[in-house]
Amino acid sequence: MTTREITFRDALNEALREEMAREEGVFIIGEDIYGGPGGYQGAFKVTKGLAEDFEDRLLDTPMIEQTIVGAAVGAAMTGSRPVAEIMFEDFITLAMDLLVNTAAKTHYMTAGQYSVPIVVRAACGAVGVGPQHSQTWTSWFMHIPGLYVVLPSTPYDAKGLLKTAIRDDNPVLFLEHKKLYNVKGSVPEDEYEIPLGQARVLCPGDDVTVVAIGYMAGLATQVAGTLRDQGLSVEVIDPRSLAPLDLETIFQSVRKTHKVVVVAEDCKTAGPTAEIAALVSEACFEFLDAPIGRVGARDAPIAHNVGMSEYILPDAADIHEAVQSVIAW
Amino acid sequence: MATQVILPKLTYEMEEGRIAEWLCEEGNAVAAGQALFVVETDKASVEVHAEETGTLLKVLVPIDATVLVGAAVAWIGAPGDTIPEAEALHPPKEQEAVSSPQDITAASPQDMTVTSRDPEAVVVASPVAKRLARELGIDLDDVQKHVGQKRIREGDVRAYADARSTAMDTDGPEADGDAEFELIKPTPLQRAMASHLSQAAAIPQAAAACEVNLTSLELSRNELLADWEASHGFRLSLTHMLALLVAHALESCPTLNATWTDEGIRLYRTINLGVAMASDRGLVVPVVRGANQRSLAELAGEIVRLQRATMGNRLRPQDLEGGTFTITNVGMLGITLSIPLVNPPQSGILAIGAKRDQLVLKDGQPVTIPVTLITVSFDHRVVDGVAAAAFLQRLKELMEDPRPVLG
Repeated sequence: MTTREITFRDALNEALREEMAREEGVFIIGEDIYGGPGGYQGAFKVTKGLAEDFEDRLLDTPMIEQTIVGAAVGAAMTGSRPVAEIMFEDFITLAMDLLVNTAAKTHYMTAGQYSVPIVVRAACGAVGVGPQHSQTWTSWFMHIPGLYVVLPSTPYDAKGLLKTAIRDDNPVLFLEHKKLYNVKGSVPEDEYEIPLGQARVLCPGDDVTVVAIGYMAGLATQVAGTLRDQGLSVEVIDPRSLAPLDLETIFQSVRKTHKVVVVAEDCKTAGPTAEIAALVSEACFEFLDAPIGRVGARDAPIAHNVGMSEYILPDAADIHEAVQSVIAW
Repeated sequence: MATQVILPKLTYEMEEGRIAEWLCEEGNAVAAGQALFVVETDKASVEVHAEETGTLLKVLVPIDATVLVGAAVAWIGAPGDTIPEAEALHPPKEQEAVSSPQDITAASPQDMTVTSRDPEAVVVASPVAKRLARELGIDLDDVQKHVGQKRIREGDVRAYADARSTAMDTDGPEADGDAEFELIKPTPLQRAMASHLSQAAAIPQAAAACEVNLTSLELSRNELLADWEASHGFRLSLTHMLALLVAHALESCPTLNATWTDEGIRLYRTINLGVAMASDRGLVVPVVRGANQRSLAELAGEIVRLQRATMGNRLRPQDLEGGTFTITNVGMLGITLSIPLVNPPQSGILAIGAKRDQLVLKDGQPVTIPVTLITVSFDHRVVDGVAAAAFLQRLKELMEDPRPVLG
């Protein structure tokens, strides 16, 4: 299969283009996404150039997240496959009721007469843009039955998972970390999909398992490389989707290594690391040789100030330290 | 008023003891001086005698439980005396001690609570370490002792299992892997023996052997045997005679009756001969003091007393202390050659092999003579090869012409 190096952003753009070409019901709705002449083409340029081919399928809206998601839900119930873009995940709270009470439940409340096949794309992660534009929220949505939560960490996964998410009949929250948009990776020329709920082993190892979510998966892989030079074999697993969650891959790894660290950029308190650690402890208790390590953001609003922001957010050094302390327990 | 019976400190090093047997039952009358129970220490099984006259009101520690020196093990008093419940009792040392139903009455509920809450007493182990230990039949206490740290992880259990299976590799086909086996917890005596043998193996030692013609010795024994049993009350054995001959041979070989110390070599003025004996609890080496000063009858009588005490698990600690040289008659087990480990702090040990017939030429004619192999292992820091050879030569002379010594 021929591959080329493209950015995470371009991989997403390709996925959108291919799915819009494949099915007429796929359209995009959001703020400043229009990519035609004079258009802004999206805050992170993910929709760049799409207007040239699909001019009437890019709907710009005012700054009104509730309407973006609400219109998408309605369109989905009447046969379309909308992709809603929330510029910053921080503002998804404005659309919370539509996501949680309508999108996630309609299929069940109507006994399957209606489905809500929407994808809500949202940019997450901190890049020095302050408390209201930096957050990564996953556990809120993992907590809602009926909602899928997907976080790719590579261009390859971004393209494959977005295509699958668009084709899936369940509502999907698709989180894109801002620091990943410019990251390049190898992506096949040919069309492909990646099933939801299938974790990926980014780096095989025997001594300790690191389950790292989203942007943290790349950092964990770097840490694994450093530790390998010190003689420690670290297995890095990127779950890729938190709902559905591929527990079997995680459990198999823990049953092999007997030590595990869970890493996410969300706050540690009641974050996804708490849930995964609990699941591992329930299923693999007798295989654990050390307490489960967790790495997450401190319980503080993410500061504008770069030094403070770095202090609050987890980084490679934190992952390194957590792995060492699990090993040294 | 009822009095506590306390586990006494029977030897200088004694810290704990296992109750091997109760010789009285609850409700029985006991007299001061009467044997009350048998305790097994790291050295021996010892009878402990009652200090009071009265009734054995209550047994606090069941058989097989291990308790610390100074722990209350029973109450003696007048019939009907009440035992002060509130008074602090020393709880049994090990958890196993509270496993049998009778035990639940042994410690008051308060004691048991205190025991279970004591964080120092809990082995901290990871879940996988616990599971692995369970699967391998390993006691986490043993792992803790092996690794010398409070917290036990999977690697610690594996390291202990490896060390143990290396130690048991000679034990046959079932020693490794998923093999199932029965785990026998060593008694204090076995533990003491194991540590003693490890010290023994650390001594730089060598061995030498020579063959001895037993014709004269057998002849002497046959002569003595005739009315020995009638006059002494036991049968004279070759071991008894050899013990005396070895004691006499040692008189001219002082470095074999010695101890290496950092300050210098101690040459002992008396010859205290250890005689290795098998017991149902393992090997023991009781000691005959001043062996070379005794007549054959005295020495043999003392060995017989020690043998009987060994069989009945009634050896006293002092029976086992102070040996300066050891003999072991492996010939009784049909062994031709044994190279024993020097028994520290001694510098020599002699093994006597099984008697066998050897064809030799005498005046050009083939005849059979009884022979045996005697082997001395020695601390090479104290004894050199020449001294060892001189000792063997001297002993050979005495064995081949024993009359001057045996009288």
